[in-house]
Parts: sequence; structure tokens; C-alpha cells
Amino acid sequence: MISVSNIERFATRDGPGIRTTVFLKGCPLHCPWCANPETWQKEPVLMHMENKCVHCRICESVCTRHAISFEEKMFRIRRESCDHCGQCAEACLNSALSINGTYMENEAVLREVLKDLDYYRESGGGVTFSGGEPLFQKEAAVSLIKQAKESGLHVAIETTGVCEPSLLQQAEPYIDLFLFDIKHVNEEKLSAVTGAPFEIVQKNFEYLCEKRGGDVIARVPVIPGFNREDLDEILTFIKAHPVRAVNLLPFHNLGKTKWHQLQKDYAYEEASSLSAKELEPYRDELVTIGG
Amino acid sequence: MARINIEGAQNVNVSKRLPSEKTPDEQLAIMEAYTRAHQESLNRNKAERELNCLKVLFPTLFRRIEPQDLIAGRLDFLPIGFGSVTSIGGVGHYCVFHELRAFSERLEDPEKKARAMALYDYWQDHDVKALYCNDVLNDTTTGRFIDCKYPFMATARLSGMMLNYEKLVRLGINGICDELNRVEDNDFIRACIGAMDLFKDVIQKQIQLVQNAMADADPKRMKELVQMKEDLEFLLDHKPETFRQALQLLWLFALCAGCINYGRLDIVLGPYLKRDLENGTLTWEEAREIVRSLWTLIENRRTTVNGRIIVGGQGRKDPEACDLFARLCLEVCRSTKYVEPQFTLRFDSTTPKELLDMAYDCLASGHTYPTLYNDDVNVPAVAWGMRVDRKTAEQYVPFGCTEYVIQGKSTGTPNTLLNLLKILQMALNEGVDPMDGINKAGPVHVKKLEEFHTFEEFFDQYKQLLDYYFDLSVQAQKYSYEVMNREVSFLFTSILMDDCIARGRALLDGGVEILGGTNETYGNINTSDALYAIRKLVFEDRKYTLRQLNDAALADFEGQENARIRKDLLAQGKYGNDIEEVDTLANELYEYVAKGIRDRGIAAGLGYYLIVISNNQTNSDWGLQTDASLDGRKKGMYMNPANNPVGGAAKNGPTACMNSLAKFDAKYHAGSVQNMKFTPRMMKEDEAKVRAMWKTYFKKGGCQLMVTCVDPGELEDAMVHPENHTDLIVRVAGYSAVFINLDRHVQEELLSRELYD
Repeated sequence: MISVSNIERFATRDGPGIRTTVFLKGCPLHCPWCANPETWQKEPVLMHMENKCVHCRICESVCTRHAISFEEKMFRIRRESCDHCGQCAEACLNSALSINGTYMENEAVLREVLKDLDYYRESGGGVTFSGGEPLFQKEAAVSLIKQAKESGLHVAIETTGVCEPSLLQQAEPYIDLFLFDIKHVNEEKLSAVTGAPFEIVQKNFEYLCEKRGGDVIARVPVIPGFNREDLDEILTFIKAHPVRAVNLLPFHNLGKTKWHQLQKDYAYEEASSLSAKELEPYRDELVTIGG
Repeated sequence: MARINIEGAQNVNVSKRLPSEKTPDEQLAIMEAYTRAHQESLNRNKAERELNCLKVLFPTLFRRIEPQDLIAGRLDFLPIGFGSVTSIGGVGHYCVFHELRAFSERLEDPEKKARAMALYDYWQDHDVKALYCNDVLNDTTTGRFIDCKYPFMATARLSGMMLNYEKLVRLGINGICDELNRVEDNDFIRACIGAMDLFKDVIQKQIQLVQNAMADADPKRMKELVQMKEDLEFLLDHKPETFRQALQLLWLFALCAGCINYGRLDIVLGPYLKRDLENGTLTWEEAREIVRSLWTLIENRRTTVNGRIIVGGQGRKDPEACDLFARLCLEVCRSTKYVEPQFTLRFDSTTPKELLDMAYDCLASGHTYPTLYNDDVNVPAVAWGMRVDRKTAEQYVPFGCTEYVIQGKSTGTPNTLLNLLKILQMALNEGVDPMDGINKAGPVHVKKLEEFHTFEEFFDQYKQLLDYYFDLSVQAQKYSYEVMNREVSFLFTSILMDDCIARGRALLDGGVEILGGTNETYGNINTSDALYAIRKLVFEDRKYTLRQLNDAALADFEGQENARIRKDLLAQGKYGNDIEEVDTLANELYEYVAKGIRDRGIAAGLGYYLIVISNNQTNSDWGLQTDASLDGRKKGMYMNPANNPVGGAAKNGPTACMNSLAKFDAKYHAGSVQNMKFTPRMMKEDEAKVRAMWKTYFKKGGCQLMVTCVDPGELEDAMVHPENHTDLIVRVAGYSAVFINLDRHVQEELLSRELYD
């Protein structure tokens, strides 16, 4: 069984052609701009939409573990007490509560993915495993990736690069395309802001580039205040490797509501999205703007 | 005196009409003359009576030529007159009673008011539709179109006639007359000859109108008018020789026949266009301006759900010439933003990429046209559904909202409409429609809910009710032909429909080769989603009893417990998400309804009688009068559009939706429309992917696609600030409209549909 956050069909920004992106749960990083913070933990997670909540407190009354309260007229959840049984979400008449995350058999995941096989064939698409970090769930993830490949699918992964090198090496033969995040090349900055150890990222990146450079697309989420100013340095690093392409992904704040639903503070509350135009000067034969 | 309510809306009418050119006094005089002609001919045969009446209308009602017209022919219609369809007046000898009343109320002189109301009295006993309605409508099962209290609506009309214009241009007026003179003489043939003489008068009148327009014409305009005059004069005695002449001839004939769908004009006009371009008598730009003029003339007729021009597809003798015309149309489509003509591209796997590129460009720039019809699926489907050979099926044409006919060979008017969801509610309430408490089950005994022990038992009960309504439907359709045939011959239409002349018989008198028909069905997907929820929650999970669910719906899901039930209903799988068991049940219902109608049509001796899942805005109008349903839909809420998912239910992206859509086998219906909304961003940035998606959908059996391209938030903003969105065109279902002209509940339904980005 593997913990799945979401399966998105007709995903158009996660690799070539028409794709289905499987968002797997669990991530060793905690990037403050993350657009999918609900994927950080492998276990299911309760999400609450304040704009749908009428404070009827039915959820509070059905929670057997007393994880929910409405102190100071605010919905509160003690996550350490929540066993994500889902009773509160079922009881909520306004659908303000939901549980993100389901454990699925590989076959069930692939059944869903294969529904669009004809579209992949027509467009040169396939499946993309994203996250979270798609390899966070280790052997379970490798097994799913392998099975996807054996089903005849074009397989891509969207990886943070933060995983045991041996795992990546196990999975590598079953992957056609690596969308590899290079968030920063400054060890301290990277670690302080995202928690990622650059050493591992670099090791995995170099391994892939050496073996499969033509199948590696390096992706740089361009974040104001984090790496926007260091882009030259980052691109120099990437370009020293034989990658197929580099995508600069301008910062967007579309994940904001998810942070709210998880009762997490979002560091970019007031920040506006970065315009693609601003990154145009970096465009060249290797570098494109957007996914 | 009519026993039924003869006033009220009789068709979907979004576009505002141009007011008549005639003064109110002139209009009154014409209507009186028409009525007199009818009255004085009561003892004559119907064909002669029709001709006498037509002589009152033609050529009098033709309007002046407008400065932008490159083709002559603008026609008014009045509250009383002769026609085929309700979009421009009515059927046969008609009176649009509410319009006549409004007309009389605008008259100031009491004596004239009284004269107008005297006409009202006369036509109560002679309006063809009223005669039909008097016999067919009742207080429980069968209502007038549009009166949404009933599960079933029936009407008399002759919609969607698309004539054999190829024959018209090939033979010319004299050629047609020769043919009429060659066959054995009878009342009908004599009247047809008279109609052709009248047609010549119409052309003469155009010559005069063109001359009138010359009075204040500048040199450039004068040149155009001289050309128009020469063409008209030529047509009086010759068959057309040029593109311009051919178009002029067919346009005037369509006006006289009261036809508002035009069909495969590439077949008719392509060869003329090609020849003119080759011999240098016409430039591409001139041709484009002529087509633009046609576009404007059609737009100005304002028939809302009609105006079909179809290009492309199988069964064309000279595809190269036809595609020239198709390209011209695509260029005009790209540079105009009209809701009509409903420009349609038929295509298959051999269609030139250039045409598909142009079509995509039109759609991506928000024109909603062309609508796309997949011949690889539709031609074999039509052949099977209508029981015709492949060659005949190749000449299928969608009219109105999508109903198919065979051009020049079949009638397919949708005179019956069924609300599947209302009938389901009757199955849940012992035959009573919970909306008004009236039992509408006819002779069908409907069991109490406690008596259903399996889903199949319940489904069977529902099917029994459907069967009863299918019987009503086929009877009503057939009877509409009987009444229309009793009263009129549809002379102009008959002249260009195979094989009326050779058989010496009027269209509905045994003249038309294929007497078909269509039945519109509504609420298809709300119904199948409701059935699925019933099966799952009551008979599989046993979470609720059928009674509990139904009680919750009767309370419109008000109150906490009922709201919980509604949440459960909404949480069940919904069509449009590519969920096997949900789609399978939807398909089972679809096939049951489609085959039920089709088999009854064959048994009743019709060439074909097929369902259409086309939808104008009746899904919204009928929804207002339909109680809460077990798919979780609230009372009075719009129903799903055509066979598309319920608004907001398709959560799995466009490919999932298309997979669900492609599951219905096209051979059981005579048209089904698939509406999707995409953002301009997606259409532009993901063009290759969108095109691959459509191509796959069509390969998987998708028969049709119509596309609205809007930005997120654009529709919402247009509801608040309509003044900023005057040219925002959307695809409602089988027609396009300026969004801000739609009723609010229709706007809301459109908004509820998934927008793919």
C-alpha cells in the first residue's frame, strides 16, 4: 500500500504530453513556498476550510479523541490527537472538513492512471510521480514506479533529489524522465530554508546526469528572497552538467489556501506571484520559463 | 374556441428581433388580407389555399436592401402568416397569439384594436398548432411546448428542413418548372407551379428593391448594386452560373420556404466558387465579402437556435472545391462575432490539417464556432439509426440544437420532449409529481416504495412509466404530421425535398422520402446519477431506505438530517468522472430510452424516430418546475445540459469527462451535444495537448464537440457588469448566445459547468 495525496488527470505541466500526476505523500523538506503542504506527512491529514465552516461544532461533538475544539471562536485541531478517522469530515454538512490522503494498492493507482492511456499515446504523455518527494515512501514507491513502467507507461518523476541514493538507483531504470529540483546550490541557505542537505541533492543529481543526463530536466522554483538573486550561480552549477533542459518555475502563491486549511502560517501571505516575464533574460537554448 | 392555453412562449428566443419595416396599419392590413385569403379558400384544396395565402405575404413582406448587403433578400414576418417553424412565426397557417395581442395593445385606435382581435378569434380555430394542441394536450401528462409543469411536452412544427439546394442551382427556376410540368398534374403540382411563379415575383421585387437602393448609392456601392441587379435578372430565366448567382438563388428560396437552417453549402457553392476564382471573375476577397454578407443576413434573421451552415465531411463530390468554400467560411467566422449562423464543421480522419487549424483558431479566440461533428462516428451511426445506406447517411446534417436530418431527403422535427427526471420522481411517489401533487402516471400502477425489494424492481417500475410516455411520444409525433398534412402542403419546402415532385405529393402527404422525427430528452444525467445513488445507498450499502431518501427530497433536503442525506447523495459517484459503474448505469438508461423511442417509431411506420440529447435552455426552464431529486439536486434547480455531467460534478478533468461522454453509442440517437469550457490560456499554451485530447476523444467514439473559451471569472464578472461584456459569446448547448442576453438561471447553469484550465 502506498499513501497517495491526489491523482490529477490531464496534468499539463509535469512533463511531455497529456499526463496523470500521482501526488505521493511524505516529504523530508519543508519549503516555505510549497504549493502542496498537505503532502508533507505520509499519514492522512485533516484539512479545514474556514470559509465553509459555520461553527456548528458538529465535528467537535463527533470526535472521539477530542482533537477538535473551537476556542476563541476558532476551529482548532490537536494534530497529535487526531487519528484521521474521518468521522468529523463525514459529519460536516458544509464540507468544510476533508481528509487528504488514502492508502492505495499499486493496482488501484495504476487502474486510475491507465484510464487515459489512449490520450498518452496520442500526445506522447504518461504518468508523473510527484509529491511530496515521490521516493519518500521508499520501497513502496519504487515498486509502484516499476509497475507503472511495466504497464507500458512513459514514467516521469518530479523529485526534490532528497532521498537515499540507493533508492534512486533502484528506481532509475524504470523512469524515463527526471524532473529534478535544484532549489539552491548554497548549502547553508538550502538547509536553513528547506531542510534539504545539498550534499545528497548533489550526489543524486550527479549520478543521474552522468548516467541519464539526456533524461534529466533540472527545475528551479524561483523564489524571491531565497534564490531569485542567486539564479546565475544556480544556473552555472546546473549547466556544468549534461542535462536535457532547465525549467525556471516562477514563484506563485496558489498553494496559499492549503496552508490555511492546515492551520499553518504561510510565509508569503502578502507576496504576489512572480511574473514569467521577469525571468526572460535567463532564457537560452537550454533554459525555458515555466514547466 | 381553443380549449387550451394558446398564448405564451413557444420557442427558445434569446436574440432580439428587428422590428417589421411595415407600419402597424400596413401590418394589420396584411394580416387581414391573409386571413381573408385563408377564409375564402377554406373550401379549396389545401395546396391552393396555401398558395393564395402565400400570395398575400410574398413579395409584400420583403424589406429594403441594407447598405452592407451583397445578396438581396430580407423578409419580415408578422404575428399571422405562413411558416414552418416557431422561430419565425409559426407552423403552416399560424397566429402567434401573444404577439398578436401585444400588437393590438400597441394600436391606439379602438376600431383597429377590435379588428386585430377579430383576427385573434378567427385563428383560434385555424392556427395549425392550436388545432394540434387542442387534440393532444391534457391536464396531466402532456403539456404545450413550452409549459414545464408536465413530464412531456408536444408541439406541431416543421423544424430543421434542409432543402436540396444542389438541385435548385443545377436546374434553375425554369428547370424546376419544367420538372413540375412534366409530372402528372394534380392540385399539389398545380400549386407548386404557382409557387414558382410567385418565386419569380419575389425576384422581380428584389430587382425593384435594388433599384430603390441605387438612389443614394456612392460609386462603389452602385457597382455592387448593379451586379446584384444583373444577377437577379439573370436568375429569372437562367440557372445560376456564378457563385454570387447560386448563393442569391438559394438564399431567396430558403426565405420563401421559411427555412432557417441551410445545410451543406460547400457542396452547393464550392464548385461555383472554384470556377469563378479560376477564371478570374471573382477574387478571394470579393468572395469573402459575399459570405460575410450572408453571415450578416443570417444573423439578422435572429432565429437563436438555428442558422446552420455546414461544411466538410464525407459524401462530397468535389472536396477540393468544397474546401475552398469551407476556408472562406472559416475566415469569415474568425473575423465576425455573431451567435448565428451556427457554423458547423464536419470532419473525419482525412480532413486537411489546414481546416482543422483554422477551426481550432476560431474556437480558441472565443467564437464558439465551428461546432465539430465527427463523421467517422456519425456516418455509420446515422446509417444504422435511420436505417439508410451509407451513401444516404453521408448527407446527414445537424440542424437547430443538433438534430440530424438527411439533407433534401428527410424530416426530423423534434415535436416531442420528455423530462426523464420528472418521470423518475413519479416512480418514487406512486405516480404523483411532487412538484404539484398531480398524478401523471396515466394507467400505470406505481407501487409504494416499501414494495421495492431490489434495485431492479424499482428500475422496472420506472421503465414502465417511461414506456407509457414513449407511447404518448410516438403518437404525438405522428399526429403532428397528420394535423400539419391535413392543413397545409408546405409547397416551397416540398418542391426541393426528394421525392415530392416525382411522387406528385406534398411533403407530409407521402412526398418526402424519409419521414423521420426526433424526441428531445432532458434530465438524462440527473436521472442516471439519482438511480446510481439509489442503488448504492439503498440496495447495496443499505444506509438508508428508499422512503428516507425520498422524504428528504420531498423536504428539499431542508433540516439537518435531510442535509446529511443530501451530502451522502452528492458524495456518490457522478457521471462525467470516468467511473465505470456510474457510466454503465447512465448508458443503460440512455439505451433504454433511445431504443424505446426508436423501436416504437419503427413500429408506427416512421422512417426513423430517434432521441436527441440536444438541449436548448429547456434543461434550465424545466428544472425550475422539477422537484428535488436523488442525485442531490435541489428543487427548482436547473437540470444537466444535454448528456453532459451535472454542473460541477465532473471533478476529474477533461479526459475523464470525455471518456464518460464517449461511452454512449452514437447509433441510438440523432444528435447529442457535448459542451466543454476551456480557458484561453489552455487553448493557447497547451494547444498541442488540447488537440491531442480532442483527437483521442473522437477516436474513442466521441461524436461531437462544442467549445466555449472563457477566462476564469469572466462569466461571473459579466453577471455583475454586463456592460463590459457585450460581445461575450457562449455555447449554451445546441446554440450560442451573447451571455448577457440570457436569463439569470441559464447564466447560472452555464457557470456551474466545469471550466478546464
